[in-house]
Amino acid sequence: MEFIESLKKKFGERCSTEEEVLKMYWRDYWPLAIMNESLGKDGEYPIAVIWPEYTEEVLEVVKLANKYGFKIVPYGGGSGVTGAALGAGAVVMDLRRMNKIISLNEEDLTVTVEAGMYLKELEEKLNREGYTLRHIPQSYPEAVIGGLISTFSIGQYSTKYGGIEDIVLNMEVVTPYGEVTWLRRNTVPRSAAGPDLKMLFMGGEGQFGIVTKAVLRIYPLPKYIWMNSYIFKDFIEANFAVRQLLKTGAIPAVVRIYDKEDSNVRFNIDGNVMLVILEDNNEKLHNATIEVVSDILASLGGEEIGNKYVEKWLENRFDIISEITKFLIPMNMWFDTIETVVTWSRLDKLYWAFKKEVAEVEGVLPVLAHSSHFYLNGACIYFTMIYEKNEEVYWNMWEKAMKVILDNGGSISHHHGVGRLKGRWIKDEILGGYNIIKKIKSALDSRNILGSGGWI
Amino acid sequence: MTNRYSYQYYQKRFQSFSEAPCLYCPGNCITSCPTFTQTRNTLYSPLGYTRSLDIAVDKCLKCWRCTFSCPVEYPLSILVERAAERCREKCFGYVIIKDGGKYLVGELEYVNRMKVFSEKVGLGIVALDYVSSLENRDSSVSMEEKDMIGYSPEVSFLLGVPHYTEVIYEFTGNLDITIKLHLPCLLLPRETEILSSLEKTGVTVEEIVKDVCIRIENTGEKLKDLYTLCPRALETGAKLLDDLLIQLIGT
Ligand code: SF4
Ligand code: SF4
Repeated sequence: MEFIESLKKKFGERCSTEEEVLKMYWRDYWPLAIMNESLGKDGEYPIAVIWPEYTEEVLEVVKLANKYGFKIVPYGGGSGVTGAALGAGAVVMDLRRMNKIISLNEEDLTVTVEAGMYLKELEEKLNREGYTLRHIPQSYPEAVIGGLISTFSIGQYSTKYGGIEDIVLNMEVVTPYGEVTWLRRNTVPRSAAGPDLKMLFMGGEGQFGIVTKAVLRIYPLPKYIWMNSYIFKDFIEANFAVRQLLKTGAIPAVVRIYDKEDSNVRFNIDGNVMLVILEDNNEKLHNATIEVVSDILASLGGEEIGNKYVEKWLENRFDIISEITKFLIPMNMWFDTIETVVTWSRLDKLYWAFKKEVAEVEGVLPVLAHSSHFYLNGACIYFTMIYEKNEEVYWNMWEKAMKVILDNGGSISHHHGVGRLKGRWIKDEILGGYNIIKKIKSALDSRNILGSGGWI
Repeated sequence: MTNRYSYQYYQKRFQSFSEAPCLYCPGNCITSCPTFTQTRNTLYSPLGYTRSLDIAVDKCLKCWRCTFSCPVEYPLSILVERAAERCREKCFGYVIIKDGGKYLVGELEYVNRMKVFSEKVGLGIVALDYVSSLENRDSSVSMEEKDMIGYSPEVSFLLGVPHYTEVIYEFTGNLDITIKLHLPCLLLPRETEILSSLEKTGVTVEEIVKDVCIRIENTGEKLKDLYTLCPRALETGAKLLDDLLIQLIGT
C-alpha cells in the first residue's frame, strides 16, 4: 500500500507493521475484547502503528489520511473499557511519545502537557513540586491525558475536585480536515467567547479531532487529610446522608458507599460501608469540616468504624488483576462494570430495579454496587458484574442493564464513555442530540478518517 | 535476611501462576518498565513480552521493575529466563577470597573493587563465579550459614541478603556528606532500609533517582551528579557510591 510506504519513509522505526506489534494494538481494555482474546479470538488487527513525536507529525498523518482515505485511531493507554479505540483495519496513532511537560505555572496553578503523557508520570512529577491534579481514576497507572479527555474521565476525588471537564482549561487539537489549533488564544479560567468547544472533545473518543496538548488545572497538595469509615443499615439512606453533606457545604474529597453485597465481598462486613476522605489546606477549615461531617453522618444513622477500611481501599484501588487471576479465571467467569448517574429522586428505584432485573439474566451472578461520585443533584452508581464467560450472556446482560437504566432515569454512561459497547443505546439517551453530533462529525470529517467508528 | 527481597520468594510466587496474569492486565506496571518508557511501544512492555516470548528474550532487561510494581508481584523475569532456557546450563559457585566474621559477597568480576572496600570496613570476601542468570541457584554450597552482605544489587537479591548500604552504619563512623543517589532496579523495594542506614552513617541523600534504569538510558545530564549502587552501570560512565565511601571511611 502506497500510504504505508510513505508512513514508513516518514516515521522510520516509529512506524511498524510487524505482526507482534499489531497484535498489541487491536483492542483497548474492553472486557468483551479481552474475553475474546483469551478464548483465542483476536479481533481484526490494525494495518500499522505509528508513534508521532510532534503535533506537526500528527498533522502530516491526518493530511495523508485525507489523501489516501485510510482511517486513524488515536491511541493512548489503551485502558478504555468500551472498545472506543479498536484498531481494526486502521493506522493506530500511539501518542505516548508525546509525553513532555511543556510548562508549569505556579502563579496561575496550571500545567501544560502533551497529550500522550501518562497521568501517573505527570502526577508524580507534580507531587514532587507540591502540586496535584487530584484526578485519580482506577486507571491511574495506565491512562494518558489525551485518553482521559477523550473518554470524559472522572477520578475518585471528584466530589471535591470535579471531573476532567473541570480540570482542562485549554487544548491544542489537530482537526480531521487538517488544521492545528488551540481552542483559545489565552488560557483563561472561563470564557463566554462562543460555545465551549473543549466539550466537543470531552468524550469525543478521537472522532472529532486529535488532542495533542492540554492546559490543566492543578491544586496544591493537601496538607490535612482525615479519613474514616461508617456502616449504614440501608444503602439508599447512606447515599442520602451524602446529599445532606453536600447541601451543608461540607464537601468530602472522596466518598464511597458499598452496598451489602459489595461490602461483604470487599471488606467482609455485613452492612453498607461508607468510606470518607476529607482534604484541606487550612487547619481551621479542616477541623470544622470534620466536625460537620461526623455530626451529620452520625445523626443520619452512620456508625463509625475507623479508618482501616479506607486504608485497605487506598492500598488496592488500582489493582484489577488480583481478582481476575484469583477468582474469575479459575471459575471460568468474566467481569464488567456498568456505571450510571441518576438524580436523587430516582436513585432508589434505579438501584433496586438494576439489582433485581439484571441479576435475573441467565448466567449473571448477584450484582455488587457502590456509589462513588456525588453531586448536589444526584450520584453515580457503579455496578460490578460477574457472569459466565460467554458472549451471548454478555450482550443479554448489557441489553437488560441499559434498558433498566434508561427506564429509571439514569444515564448509560457516567464516565466510561460510549465506544463500540454502548453505541447502540446512545440515541435512546441523547435523542435529537445524536443528529447534531452526526452533522458535526460529517462537517469536520467528510472522509471519515478519524476514530474507530464506534457510534457515529 | 528479608525473604520478600529474595529471588527465592519470587520463584515460589512464579509457581503459583498457571499463566502470565499480564495477558489480562491493563498494565499497572507499565510506566516502571524501562524498555517501554524508552520506546512507548506496548510490545516492549510486560503486556507484549508475555505474548511474544522470543522478543522478550531479546529485549527484556530482567530488571524486575515490573514485578516490584505489580499488584500480584508477577515475576516476569523468571518467565523470560525460562523462555531463554539459560537456566539449565548456568549456575555458580562460591570462592572465599578472604576470611572474616562477616563476608562481602559479589561477582568475581568485581573482586578488586570488593577488596578495597572490605579492607576499609573489615569484612571477609566471597566471590561468585557466575550470576548473570538468577535462575537455579546451586543450593549444595555451604555458604548458607555464613553471614553475608551483598556487594551488588544482583547478588543481594539472588541470595536474599542485605545490600551493603543497608548495614553500612555498622562499619563506619559519621561520614558527614550529602549526595544524590541513584537506586538501581533490584534495590527498589529496599529504599526505606537503605536510606535509613545511610542516614545513620551521616550520608544525607538530598535527591533520589529511581525511575531510571541506567543500563539503558544514557547517563546524560540527569545522572551527572549521581552516585549509583549498580556496578553494571560503570560501563555507562556512572559513578559508584562505594568509590566515594572508600575515600571517606577512616579519613
Ligand atoms: S507484571 Fe503485573 S502489573 Fe505488569 S502487566 Fe503483568 S500482571 Fe500487570
Ligand atoms: S523485567 Fe524490566 S524490562 Fe523486563 S518487562 Fe519487567 S520492567 Fe520491563
